[in-house]
Amino acid sequence: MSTPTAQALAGEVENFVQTFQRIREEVSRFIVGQHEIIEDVLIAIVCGGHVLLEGVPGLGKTALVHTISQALDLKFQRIQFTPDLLPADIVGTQVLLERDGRRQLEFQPGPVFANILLADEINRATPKTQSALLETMQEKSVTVAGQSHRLELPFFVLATQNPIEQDGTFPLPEAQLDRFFFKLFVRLPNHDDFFEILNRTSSNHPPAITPVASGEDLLRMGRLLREVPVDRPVQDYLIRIVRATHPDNEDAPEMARKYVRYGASPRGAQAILAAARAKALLDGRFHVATEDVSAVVVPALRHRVLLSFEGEAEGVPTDDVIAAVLKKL
Amino acid sequence: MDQSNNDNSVAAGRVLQFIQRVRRRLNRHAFWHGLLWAWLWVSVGLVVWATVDVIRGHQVPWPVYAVAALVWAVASLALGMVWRVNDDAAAQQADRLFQLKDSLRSCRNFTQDGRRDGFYDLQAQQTARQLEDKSLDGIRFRTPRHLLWVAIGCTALAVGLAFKGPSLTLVAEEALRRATLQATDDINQELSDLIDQLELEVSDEVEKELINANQLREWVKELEATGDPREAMRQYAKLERKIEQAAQALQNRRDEQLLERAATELKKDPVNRDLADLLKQKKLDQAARELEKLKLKPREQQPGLKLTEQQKELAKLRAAAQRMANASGRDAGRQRDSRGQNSQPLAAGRDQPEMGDQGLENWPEGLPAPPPGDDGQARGEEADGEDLDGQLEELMRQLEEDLQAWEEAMEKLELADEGDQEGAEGECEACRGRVNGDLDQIGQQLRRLARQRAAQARLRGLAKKFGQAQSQAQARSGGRGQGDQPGGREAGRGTSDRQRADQDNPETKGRASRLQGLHGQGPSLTQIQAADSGTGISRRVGEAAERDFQRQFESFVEREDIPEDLKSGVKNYFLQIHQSAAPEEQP
Repeated sequence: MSTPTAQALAGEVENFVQTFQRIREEVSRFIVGQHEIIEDVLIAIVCGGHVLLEGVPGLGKTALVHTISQALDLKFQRIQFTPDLLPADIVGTQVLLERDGRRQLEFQPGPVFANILLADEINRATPKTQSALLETMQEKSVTVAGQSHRLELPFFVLATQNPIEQDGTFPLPEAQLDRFFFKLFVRLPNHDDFFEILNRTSSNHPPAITPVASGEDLLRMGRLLREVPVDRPVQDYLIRIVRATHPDNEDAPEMARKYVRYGASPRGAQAILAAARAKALLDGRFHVATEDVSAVVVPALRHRVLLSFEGEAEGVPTDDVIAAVLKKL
Repeated sequence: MDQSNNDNSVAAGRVLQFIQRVRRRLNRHAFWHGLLWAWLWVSVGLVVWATVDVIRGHQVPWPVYAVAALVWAVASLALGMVWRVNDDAAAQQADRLFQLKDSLRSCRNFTQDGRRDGFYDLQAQQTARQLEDKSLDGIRFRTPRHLLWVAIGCTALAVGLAFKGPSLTLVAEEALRRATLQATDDINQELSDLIDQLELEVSDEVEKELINANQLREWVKELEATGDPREAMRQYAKLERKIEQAAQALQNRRDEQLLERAATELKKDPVNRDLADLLKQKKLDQAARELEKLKLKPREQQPGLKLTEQQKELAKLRAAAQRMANASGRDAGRQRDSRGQNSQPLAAGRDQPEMGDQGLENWPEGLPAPPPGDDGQARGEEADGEDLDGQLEELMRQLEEDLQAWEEAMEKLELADEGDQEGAEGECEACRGRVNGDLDQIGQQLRRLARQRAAQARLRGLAKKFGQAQSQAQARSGGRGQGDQPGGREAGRGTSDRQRADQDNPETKGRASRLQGLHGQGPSLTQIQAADSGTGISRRVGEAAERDFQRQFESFVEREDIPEDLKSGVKNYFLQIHQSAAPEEQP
């Protein structure tokens, strides 16, 4: 027997779950399989974070982002990053316009002025261009010629990069990597999913995606998430995980001591906590459990753990390091 | 808001109640686990203990099992206490067991932190709803069957080993130990009785003091009743040695040698032959009485006694004294010689104090200084100024000197004028008093020697009896344990062969252990027989050569084929040699 307040809150939570399910189902109408990727991307979006998708070409990364944008009824922009791409090509520039007989400089917004920005093959742009995204990702604003321009909320950057064909690419700097909420690996679909992909994409009538949630819905869902309570032992568990990724920590496993140069930042812990809250609500619980934390640790930290020279030389995956941390704790 | 709080409280209360029930159940399980693990470890320990005992030949004592049961109970309780869980741990375990994903633990912590409303309210209610279909029966005590079977097996094995009896060798050793313990106890009592009896037998106070029965009792009290035959024999040997040393300490060798020589000297004089015989036979008490008879009375008590008669008595007494003084003088000369020649070793002894310390540290307490012997002789004479041994010699010389003084006084009295008569007589009386005093002291010294000889004889007798205690201890302990000891033939199983085919080992026959002699602690007595003091250089060879030479010389002198002038020439030659050599000998 709940009170009116609790009943209202329960309704909000139910609405959250239903909205999330609707988006997921709508995306799944076009994207075959990749359920975890879809859920993780949606969790990151609900939490207001950006996602870095990594996978070989042809796995549907761009299609996924495009489909999500369609399902969310949000303004979508795509930038194909190339080495000759300039920051002005992203954030916009001032152009000289003649209006009423007078010529004046007017700001022409770039493609970054959207709700969902697909930064395709982000690692092909120069660091200068990559860093132009920094301000937009963190501050949600653009500064051109001394003038700041606020981006419309919600704003998400969904970037993709190709793990192969490293020639002519510029690895993302650590500071920018840290801005991404999740880094997700898009893997090859299984045998059955392949059938479904072929069937869906080779017909004359591909599935039509309709918007099932608005930007306002996403913002409201994000606010609700922050109210989900977290018990102190769960927080303690989370903190110990993040600290254990540092090689000089007493809880760090041997693998972290040997192959890690620098561990995850507090921003990583924030990402884990937010994602764990979303996981808890999606699981139908009103509190965060250690299982929720464990479930999101890998995508939240895999790009925040910096390997040492030995780790890089031996090609140690950061996922293994994080798995060792989880195993030890 | 109040309604919300009430709902939250009800739900949280149910959750907390559930957690407490889980805790109680988990604690019961912890106790059972403790019981089982403690049983396992105790039974394993018991098996090890019992196995070791059996391997060593012992029977596992039943109290060990009682102690093991006690240890089991205590260890079970201890483990149960250690493995107890609190509410937080119980909530954590229940979350894991019922797959509640931290619902119980979070609800408990939120409630304790006083968090209500909103999500907390929903969380509590949700957790309470989840518990509706959860039963504590889901938390089952899973009996670790493999541990249980191991514990049962070990316990059965340990109990089974308890029924195995001790080995025959150990039974025999135990019997021997008990017998030895009883024997030593009995013998110690008998030794105490012997000392009591000795004390009763001795009537003379001086002799009692010399025997020092209390000290002997102390030594007997120090004996411990022991089950180890070797230790028992070692104790008796040590006691025997102590008493032997005590007896040896009472020996006045110098005085006895002096008396021996004095007897020889006196024997030459027919007048003093009785005294000589008494001294020779060591009847010192009678000799002392005989000496008293020699004391001269004052002239006032003998009005008819003429001076010449008194001079005759004095001459007779002086003759005896002179012989004794001769004996003492010869002894003194020898002592001086020996001291002169022993001065080097004595100095060496002083340079090496550890040798002296080593000799003295084993000396029993409460006894006089060790008897002189070897280097100890010189040390005893030099170091102990109060030693009575040797006092007799001084007294005899003193007597001779006083007699000489008296004789001179008598001569003065004889030649004195009428005016000086009175002074000369007084001087004679003074000399007479000194002589009588000397005789008294010599008599007392002889009596003291007599007491010491008696005490020494008693102590030696006692030491002999104590020495028998070793063999008695061996016999009694060996005799009592004989029937239980291994070896030999059983009764009625002897062989008819005169020569048995399998020889018994005499060393182990009927006895598990033998006394091994320890250097310096054995029962043997090292007694030093004193010899006359001398130069330390044997004269036998030189004297024999001298005799041969003398014999050849005499036969040469008596030969008839040698002209008389040649004989007289040779004789004069040797006389001249002796005459010229004699003054050179005097420094």
